[in-house]
Parts: sequence; C-alpha cells; structure tokens
Amino acid sequence: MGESGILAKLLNDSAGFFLQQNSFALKEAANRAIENAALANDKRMAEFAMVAYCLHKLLGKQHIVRDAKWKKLGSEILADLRSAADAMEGEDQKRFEESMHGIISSIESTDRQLGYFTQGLYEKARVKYASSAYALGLGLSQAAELTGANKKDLLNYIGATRMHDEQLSAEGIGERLAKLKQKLGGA
Amino acid sequence: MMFVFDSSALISMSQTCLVKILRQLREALGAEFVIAESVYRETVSTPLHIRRFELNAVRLKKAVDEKWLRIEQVDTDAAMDIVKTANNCFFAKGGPVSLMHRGEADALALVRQLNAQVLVIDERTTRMLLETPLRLKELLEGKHNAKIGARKDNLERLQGMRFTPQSTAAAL
Repeated sequence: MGESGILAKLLNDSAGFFLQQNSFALKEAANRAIENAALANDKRMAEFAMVAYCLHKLLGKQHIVRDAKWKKLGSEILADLRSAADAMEGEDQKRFEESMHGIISSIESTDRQLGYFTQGLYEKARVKYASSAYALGLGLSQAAELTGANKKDLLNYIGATRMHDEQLSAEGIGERLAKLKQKLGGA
Repeated sequence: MMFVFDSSALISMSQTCLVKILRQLREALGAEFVIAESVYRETVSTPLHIRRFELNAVRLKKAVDEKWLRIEQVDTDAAMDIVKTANNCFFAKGGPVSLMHRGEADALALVRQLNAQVLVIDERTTRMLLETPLRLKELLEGKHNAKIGARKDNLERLQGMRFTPQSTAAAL
C-alpha cells in the first residue's frame, strides 16, 4: 500500500474513531502517521498526524464536548474527515487539501471559542510532532519543516525532553570538555 | 581558528543569554566566527518581525553589527550536493530517508568552503551522520522498527567531504 493508501485508511479509521469519541485511537493514529511521515518526508501525513492529535485532545476536554457549540463543530469535522478520506482514495489532491483545511479551521475555531489557553492547539501540535519527527531521527530543520513548527519553539521543547539522554556518550563530560579544550588550544 | 555556526547553536546561545560568552570565547581564542547568510536570515532577519523572538534576534544582530560574527555567502551548488548526498545515505520502505535540510547543509558547505576547523551545531542527527553513521542507522532502525538500508558510497562520500577524519568503511 502506497503512502496515499495508508493515509486514506488512517483518515477513514479516524472518522470512525471520532464518531465513537475514541480519543485514544486517534492518538495512536497520529503516532503511526508521524512515523510514516518522518520516513517518507510526507507533509500530508504529518498534517494528518497533527489533526488527529488535536481531535484526540479536543475529545478529552469535557468542557468542550459538552458545550452546545460542539455539536455543529463536531459535525463539520466529521464531514471533512470523510471528505478527506474520499479525496485521498480518489487521489483528488485539491479536494483533500480543502477538506484538511476545513478540519484545521474547525479545530482553531473550537480552540478560540471554547479553549482555555492562549497558544493554539494546532500550533502546539506542530511543535509536538516536529519533536516526534526529530526523535525518530530527522534533522532539526527537517523536522521543523515537516510540520511547519518554529525552530526556536522546537529547540525549547526538545530541550525539556530526555531524548538526548537516550544517546549517552561513551565519554563523560569531563573527558569531552578536556578534548574540546585541547582542540581549542587550551583556552 | 575559524568557527562556523549553525542556526541551532545560535538559537540555543541567544535563548539562554549566552551570546556575550561567545564573544569572550572568540576574543580568548583569537578566532573567526562565521555564519551563512541563510543562518542570519533564520536567526535575525525573520525573527526580528516576530515579537516573542525579537530580543534573541537583536542579540545576534548586535554581534554581526559589532563585526565579531561575520556573514559569508555559501556556495549553493556545494550545499545542494551535501543535502542530496546526505538524504540518500539511508533507505527505508523502498525510498530514501530525508534527514537533512538545506539549513544544516549551508553550515557544512561553509565549513568546507572556508576550511573551518570547528562546526558549532546543536543538533543530533547531522552530527551522528557525520561522526557515527552506524549508530544513526541503529537509532533509525530502533525507532522505526524497520530495516534501514545504507548506501556505503554516499556515506563515504559524505565522510570524504572533510567534515570529520573518521572513516565509515570499518563502521559498515
């Protein structure tokens, strides 16, 4: 199955998860998508990962899903998810982009009207999934480019994670500092 | 001694208020500190118009205005060559894994162009690709739970671009 086929399936499945309010499954779909996106440098897949993550977060907020406005917003999101899935199956790139844009607008609208925080959910998703792409092995700029995250935000975010601790150096900090001083002529 | 800075290193230093330490280091070493024009755009020109990044951009602009951080033009063809080679080192699911962006490649091209002794970069993947490509391959395989192919010729070509004296042949 090519990347388009994988994305179409993820979109179809996610429409079902969204309807069932299965936020955990949406998060899993997002994580699968970013892995594929990182390997294939696929921005559409990365965009889906961010969208699925945002939907996972929205469904987890009681004050959002219980709000009267959510019914309409949720219906619009579901319709756009199904439209995006159809478009991907039919390889209609234009309709796919319009549908995804519609979902992102609905997410941002929900966030604006019902969210508690100043930083938008979709912007947070950009940084989070750029961080995931970096953890999966992409270079910093490449990861930022994949999701449209700002590199400064990304560096800040990564700095608060333990991913660099996974790649422990064979040399301790004292040895590394001594080597650096030697290279720099003892400065 | 010449130091080439990637944007990641400058971002880290400016965000942690350590730009003045860089100046002190430069004076202590009598070194030249150089950045690519794209790095200047990324760390100064663009963020000067974004309120929350303006202060960091001003710090770095001051360094350039005071002439202890110099901007150099990059050989575009050389940078593109580095990106193309780097992004055809590892393969998964039938296609190449694009690890490097033009941003890192500009800094690497500048290192070669100016025969710089030091590349200052706050970024794991580029460093691993140049210094320990086998470990990077293992990282990719571990993270993706997939077999990652490696093109020995491209890895050796990258090594041969004189960023590091280590050879990849034995590692592979």
